[in-house]
Amino acid sequence: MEKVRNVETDEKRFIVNGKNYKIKIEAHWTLAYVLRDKLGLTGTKIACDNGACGACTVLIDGEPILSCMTLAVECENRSILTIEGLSDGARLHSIQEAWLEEHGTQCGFCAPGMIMTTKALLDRIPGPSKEEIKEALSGNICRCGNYDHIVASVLSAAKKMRGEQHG
Amino acid sequence: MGEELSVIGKSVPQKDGVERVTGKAKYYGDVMLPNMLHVKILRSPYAQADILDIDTSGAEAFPGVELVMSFKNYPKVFRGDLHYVGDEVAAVVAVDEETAEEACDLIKVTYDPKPFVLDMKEAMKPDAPRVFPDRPNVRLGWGPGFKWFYFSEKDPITGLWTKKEESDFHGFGDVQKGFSEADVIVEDSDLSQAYSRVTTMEPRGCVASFENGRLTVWTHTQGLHHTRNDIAKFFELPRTKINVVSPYTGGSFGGKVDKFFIPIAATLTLSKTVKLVFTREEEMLRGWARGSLSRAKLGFKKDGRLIAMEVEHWVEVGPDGDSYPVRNVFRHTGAKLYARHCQHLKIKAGVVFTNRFISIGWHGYGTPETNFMMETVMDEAAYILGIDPVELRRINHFRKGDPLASPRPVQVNAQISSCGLEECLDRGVEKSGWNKKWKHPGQKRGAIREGLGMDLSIHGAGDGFFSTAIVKVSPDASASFECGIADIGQGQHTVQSQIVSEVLGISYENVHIVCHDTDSTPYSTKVGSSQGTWHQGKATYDAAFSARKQILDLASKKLGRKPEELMIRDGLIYVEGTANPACTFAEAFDSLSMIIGVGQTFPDGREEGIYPKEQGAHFAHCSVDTETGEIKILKYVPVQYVGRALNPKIVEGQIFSGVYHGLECALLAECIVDPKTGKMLTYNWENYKPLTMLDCDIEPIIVEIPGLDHSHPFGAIACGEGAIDPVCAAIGNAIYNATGIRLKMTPFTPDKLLKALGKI
Repeated sequence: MEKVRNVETDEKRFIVNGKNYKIKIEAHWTLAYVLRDKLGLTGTKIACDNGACGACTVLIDGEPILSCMTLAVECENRSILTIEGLSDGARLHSIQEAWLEEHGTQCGFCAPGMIMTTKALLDRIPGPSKEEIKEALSGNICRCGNYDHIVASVLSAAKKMRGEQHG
Repeated sequence: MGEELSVIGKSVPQKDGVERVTGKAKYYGDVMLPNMLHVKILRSPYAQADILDIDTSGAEAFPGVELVMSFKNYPKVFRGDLHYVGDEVAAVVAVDEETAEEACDLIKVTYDPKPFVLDMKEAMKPDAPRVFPDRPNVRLGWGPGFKWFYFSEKDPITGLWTKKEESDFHGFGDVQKGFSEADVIVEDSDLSQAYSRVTTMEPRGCVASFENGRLTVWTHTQGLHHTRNDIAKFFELPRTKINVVSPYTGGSFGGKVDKFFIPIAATLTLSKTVKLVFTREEEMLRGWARGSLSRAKLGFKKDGRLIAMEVEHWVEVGPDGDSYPVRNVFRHTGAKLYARHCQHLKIKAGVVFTNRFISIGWHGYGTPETNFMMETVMDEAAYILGIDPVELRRINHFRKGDPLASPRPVQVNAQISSCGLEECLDRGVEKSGWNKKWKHPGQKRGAIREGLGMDLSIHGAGDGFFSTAIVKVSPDASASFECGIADIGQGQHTVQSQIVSEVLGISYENVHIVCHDTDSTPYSTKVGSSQGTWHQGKATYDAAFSARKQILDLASKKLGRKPEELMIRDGLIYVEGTANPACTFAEAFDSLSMIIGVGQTFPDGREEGIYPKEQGAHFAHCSVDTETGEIKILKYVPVQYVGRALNPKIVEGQIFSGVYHGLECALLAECIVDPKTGKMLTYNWENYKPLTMLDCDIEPIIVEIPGLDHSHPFGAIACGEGAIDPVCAAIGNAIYNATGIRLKMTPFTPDKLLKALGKI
């Protein structure tokens, strides 16, 4: 089989959490690998590495994608938001606040992906029903089985975000 | 402590929650160090083989490779005999994963493939291929050298066992006599939970670094100090030369207890940092459990009293995995859960080796599969006796004071500290609508039939180890709390910090927990047997109480009051019954800059003979489509008695986890192998499917009975594994109640149901 490794591309420009990065990448590198191993953004987790669990979810131009299944070269010049870019300095995002209050995490390994998927959902539907939440998050696995607390976290986050928008 | 509590019993946020929701929590896999080397493992293509020859020269010459390891140069880490597809043949350490992987392809191995056995029943036959040539595939007992016990003498006044002798069987009395006295005997066999497993979000692995004569290991763990000690023992290093760093573990559920000796051995040779992270497929090779084959015979009196019980129970452990879980077979028998009237008990149990994948403990640790056996046959008995299944449990479950007959020493083997099962049953009956909705299967009609099933469980706060806590209080009423307990998602860092806050009378926010490595913490028990809150919690309480006493002694001198007249609230010292604070911590401390309290609990801490146990009654409401075989869980009500819930949301989360894993066992979970090669076919989450957010509606009930249990300073008993034990039998019993079909093997897939209905 022909080997694809060591095929270095030109320098590529990425916009991650509002910051510009220019790095040389290899053609087969996934976005998850570049974020974690090259940019040190280890908040994005790799759990299954084949698109079955949602732990690696980040937003590209506001859309949730699985960064373990996305080649980094495809993301050139696109705006990538990871869990590290969600809070504003020490101030937590409403979704993170809700997650804390409602015990949305147990071990925490699914949380970055869950929270990024939730961000995309609430940007699209500010007041989702339980069914809409479950549908939107059904691709994110939580092996602690903490789903009821996660749904409560999303409902609480939606309330907080609507309050902020109106207030 | 008084009953007015300010932090205990509140769902305060996770102590390390901010790190977890911001992505700042560093799990071992997030450790990225300069010039770090990576490991890839070459794995066996055969289910059973010997390595005749291995030539690693090609891999060693490959650019970027630093070390190639096999049984030839690392005989303690690798074996020349292989026992499952995926077993470890050799490893390459290289500058990156891809180089290591390519170099693995250059290792030339000559194998001598041997016959293998993949099925438990087959493995038990005398002429089956042996997994290990030097020993049979079947081993009686619960570990190498661990035997069972026959209980021979009772205290005539208390009725508690006072003497036991080593035996091939576990139990007491004379079962033949017991069955001859029984009015009704109910027996069933071939009850089996599938070989299945927990999967965790975080895959296994570690990062190891040997520098300046010290070894640092970043990994997941259930016990930081246990892991350190195991590494020290294996590599014959002084414990103090090793630092195990594990602030976060991405789920474990009993399974992440492995020690990764390959990267550690490599760093000890190379003095460079070495990282190993399993792929999901590699992750699936370790950590199976549950595979069981059971037979149970129960003897009842007409009125429902269970007086005699005989059990035979075998557990699959793959090629010599964890055989300790089989020990817990006693838990749901007349030795504990049904100790009320049982006078005669005989348990024969042991493990079976196969060429499937390594078994490791998991959530419940041997109990779910024996619960499935016991509670299925109890359900059968209820129908045969004509006694409501709830009522049959009420007649027979243990009460406080009933004798236990576990493999523990008899002096710590006396009785359970409290019984909350009556209340669990009452609450579950009410919430599930049992009395209104329960109908006999004979009354069910139509293609889609609904049914109710229930059962009981008992679990938790098992064998304690040594636990320590250090609480350092500053004059500003903040405390630093050093504790080596692992938080694997179950909330130990939070609950232990709550205890410190409550005892010291300072705010939860002002308790800073130091827990991330062995260098900075005292020894703590590993978190197993759901004992963290109980065992470590007592040490934590003692440490905080000691600091509190010292502070009040200082304040007493300053204020000219007796210490018992003083109290601490919101970080200020008050004279009891007055509204205004008498002094601050700083005033009491005077020139002292720190007060240190130490607390310890010891393994023999239970010599008082009182055991705390989490207890539960589960109620399942299912619908079964008799045309398609589809089984739907309409409502699942787990009712768990936990003494006191120190943090109700965390307790609820523990119940969700247990039930979620239990439902997976009931409906989906099964190790499937290619019978021709032994290769695993369920190697990732696409073919070993997890339940998702769309599949689970669980309505947990936490039962707290204030003042009932005195074995813990705040009345907590245990909470964790108990919720998984009863799930499979509760679902199986509901399916029977819906259809009259008794499914005896998990998972309860549509094909099994349709076959039993005679439709396919």
